[in-house]
Amino acid sequence: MPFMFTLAAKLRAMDKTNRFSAALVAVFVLASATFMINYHRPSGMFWDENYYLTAVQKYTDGYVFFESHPPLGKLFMALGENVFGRNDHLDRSAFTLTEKIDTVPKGYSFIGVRFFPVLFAVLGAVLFFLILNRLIGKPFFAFIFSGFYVFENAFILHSRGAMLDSTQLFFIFAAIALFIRYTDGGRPIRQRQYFGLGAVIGLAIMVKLNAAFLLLLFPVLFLYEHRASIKERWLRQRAAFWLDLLKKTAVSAGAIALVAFAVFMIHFSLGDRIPGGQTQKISPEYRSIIARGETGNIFNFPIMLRDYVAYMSSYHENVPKFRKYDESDNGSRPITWPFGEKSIRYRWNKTGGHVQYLYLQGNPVIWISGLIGLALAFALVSGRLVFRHRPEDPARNRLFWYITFFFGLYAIYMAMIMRIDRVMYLYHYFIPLFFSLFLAALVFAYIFREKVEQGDRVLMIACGIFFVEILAAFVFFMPLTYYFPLTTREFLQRTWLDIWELKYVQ
Amino acid sequence: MSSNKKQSAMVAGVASIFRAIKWRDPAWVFLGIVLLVGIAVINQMLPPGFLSSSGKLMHVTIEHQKRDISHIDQPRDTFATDEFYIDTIDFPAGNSLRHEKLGNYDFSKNFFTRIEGTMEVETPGEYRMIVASDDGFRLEIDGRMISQHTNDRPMSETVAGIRLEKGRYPFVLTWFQGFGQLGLRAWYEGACGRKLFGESTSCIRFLTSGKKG
Repeated sequence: MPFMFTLAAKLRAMDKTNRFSAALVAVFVLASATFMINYHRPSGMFWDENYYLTAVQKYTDGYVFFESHPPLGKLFMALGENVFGRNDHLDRSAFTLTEKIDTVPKGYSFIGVRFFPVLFAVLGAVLFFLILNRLIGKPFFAFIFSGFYVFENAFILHSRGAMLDSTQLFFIFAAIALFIRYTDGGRPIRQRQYFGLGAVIGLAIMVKLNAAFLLLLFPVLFLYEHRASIKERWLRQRAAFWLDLLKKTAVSAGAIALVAFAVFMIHFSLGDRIPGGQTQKISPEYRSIIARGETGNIFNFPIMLRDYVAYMSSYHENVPKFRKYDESDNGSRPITWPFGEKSIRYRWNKTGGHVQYLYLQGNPVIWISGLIGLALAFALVSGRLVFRHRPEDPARNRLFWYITFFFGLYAIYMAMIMRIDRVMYLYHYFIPLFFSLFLAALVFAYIFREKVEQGDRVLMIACGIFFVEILAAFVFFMPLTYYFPLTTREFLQRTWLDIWELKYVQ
Repeated sequence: MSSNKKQSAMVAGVASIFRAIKWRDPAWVFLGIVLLVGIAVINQMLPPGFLSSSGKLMHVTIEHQKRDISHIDQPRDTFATDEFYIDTIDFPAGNSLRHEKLGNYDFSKNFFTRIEGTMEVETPGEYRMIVASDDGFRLEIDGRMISQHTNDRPMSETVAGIRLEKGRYPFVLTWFQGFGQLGLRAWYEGACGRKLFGESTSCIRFLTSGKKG
C-alpha cells in the first residue's frame, strides 16, 4: 500500500506530458506482456489457422489461390513467416495442395505466422489508449480504461493466433482515431484528410469485408464539416456544396480503390503458378495470364480480381447457416453476444488428471462493463432526443457527440451483422465489444466530468480498484487463454454463467 | 489501554470513517459500486467452502469416470480427480452436486465420491447410521462395512444400527452418481438426537481431517 501511495504522489507531481508518456509506455508494456509472451505456444493450430497456414505457404511458394477474405491479413502473416524463416528446413509442400490442413510437420514454428496479428494487437492497445486520452483528456483515466483492451481474455487468445481480427481492429481503431482528430480539432477538413481516412478504411476492408460499415464515416464527416452552413449552402450555394461533396466522395473512394488495387496487385503478383490438386475455379483467361507470366501486369488486374471476387461470393454463399439446436455448432446469435454466448473451445489437451484448454472466453468484468456502458449510452442518447435537454457545458456536449458516434457505430455494425444469413461466431463481436467499452469510458467521463477534470481523489481510488478487479478477473480466466492445465473442478469454478456454455472435457 | 477503551476507540474510528463518506457525492457512490463489484467477483472466484475454516472436517475425493456407472464396485476408469473438504455430508437431491452450505460443485454424472473423516465417540451406546443417497453408497466405520446399497437408485434412505464404545473411529463413505438426479446426506442418531455427519454433539465429536487442504 505505501508503494501505491508513493506511486500516486509521484504521478500527481508529474507534468501533463510526462503523465501521458508514462501511461502510454505502461499500456504498451502491459499489452506486450499479455499478447506477446510465448505467443508461439501452443505449438499446434487452433481455429482457422489450418486455413491460413496453407495461404501463407502458397504465398511463400508463389502459387495462385483465392481466399474467402481479401488478402491483406494473410499477406502480413506471410511476411512474418518469411521474415523469421523458422520453418525453411521443413517440408511444407503438402500445405499447397489443399485449402485446409489437419496437422503441421513436427517442429513447425508459429513465431513467424503469428507475429503480425500479435504485433497489431499490441499496437491496437496503444491506439485504444490514444483515442481515450484524446476524448477524456486525462492520461490516468485513459490508462485505467485501456485495461478493457489489455486484459480482455477472449481477444487476447484470438489475437495470439494467426487470425485476421487483431489486424483489422488495428485499422478500424486507426480510422476512428483519424475521424476523431479531424472532428475534434476545429480545423478545416481538407481533401487530403479524406484521402487519409479513405486509405485507412481501405486497409481495414482489405483484411475483412465487414469493416465496410466504416464507409459511413464519410457522410458523417462531411455533414460535420458543413454543419454550420449546411442550410445556407443548400439555399444559396447549392452548386458549390454539391461540387464539394462530389470532390470529397471521389477522393475518399479513390483512396479506398487505390489501397484495394495495391493490396490485390501484391496478392496477384506473388502467384505465378497453379498448385497441384487445385480445386478453385480459375478462369481460362486467368490461366493464360499465368501461362504468359503476366500476373504482375496491372492491365490484367480486372480479370484476376473478377475470379477472386467470384470465389469469395461462392464461398460465403456455401457457409452453413446457424443451427440453433445443434450443441456441436460453435456458432451463436448476435443478439446474445453481449452476454457472452457462446464460448468456443479452440483446442484442448489432456495431461494426467488435468486438461489444458484454449477457450474463447471473455473477461466477465470487461464484458459487463461494456453492457452497462451500452445501456447508459442508450439512456443518455434517447433521453436527450426525447426531452431535448442540452447541457450548457460545452465539454459535456462534446462528450455527448462522441457517445452518440460510438453508439451509432455499435448499432450499425450489429444491424449489419444481424442481416447476415450464415453462421457467425462470438469473435465477430470484438468490434462492437470495443465500441461498447469506449461507451463505458465516455459515459463515465460524461457523468464525472468535473471530478475527472479536478482529479478527484475518491474517484481515482475507485478507478484504481476497478482496474485491479479487471486484472483479477483476467488472471482468474488466464488458464483458458494461455493453455494452462486445470482440474475439472477448477474448470467448473470458471463457469459463472450457463449462457457461456463452457464444457469440460471428459 | 483497557479493552473498553480500545473498543470505544475503534467505534470512534469507524464513526469518523462514516462521517468522512459523502453519501450523495457521485464519486463515493461510484466507489461503493466498484467495491460491491469487487465483492461479487471475489465471491465467484473463491472455491466453495473457502471462507468457512470450520469446513475442513471431512476430505472428499471425486473421481470422474469415462464410462457410465451403475454399481459401487464397478472397475474405475478415471479421467480426472478433484479433492476438497466439507463440514457436513449434506448434498441435497438435485440435478448437479451442490452442498447445502458450501455451494455448487456442478458435477452431474458418472463420478465416484470418497468421503473420509474421523469421529470421536464421547457417549458410548447404540447408534443408528442413516444414509440417503441417489445412487448407491457404502459406509465403513473403523474398517467395518456398516451399510450399503450397491446399485443405482432414486434418493432413498438406508438405516443400520451399530454399537459404538468411547474412542476414535475413522470412517469412509463411498458413493457413486451415474446419471440423472443425484444426492447424498448422512446422519447419526443416538442419545443426542438425529444429527448430520459433521455436526458435533456431546455424543459424537467430528475431528478435523489430518489431510492438508
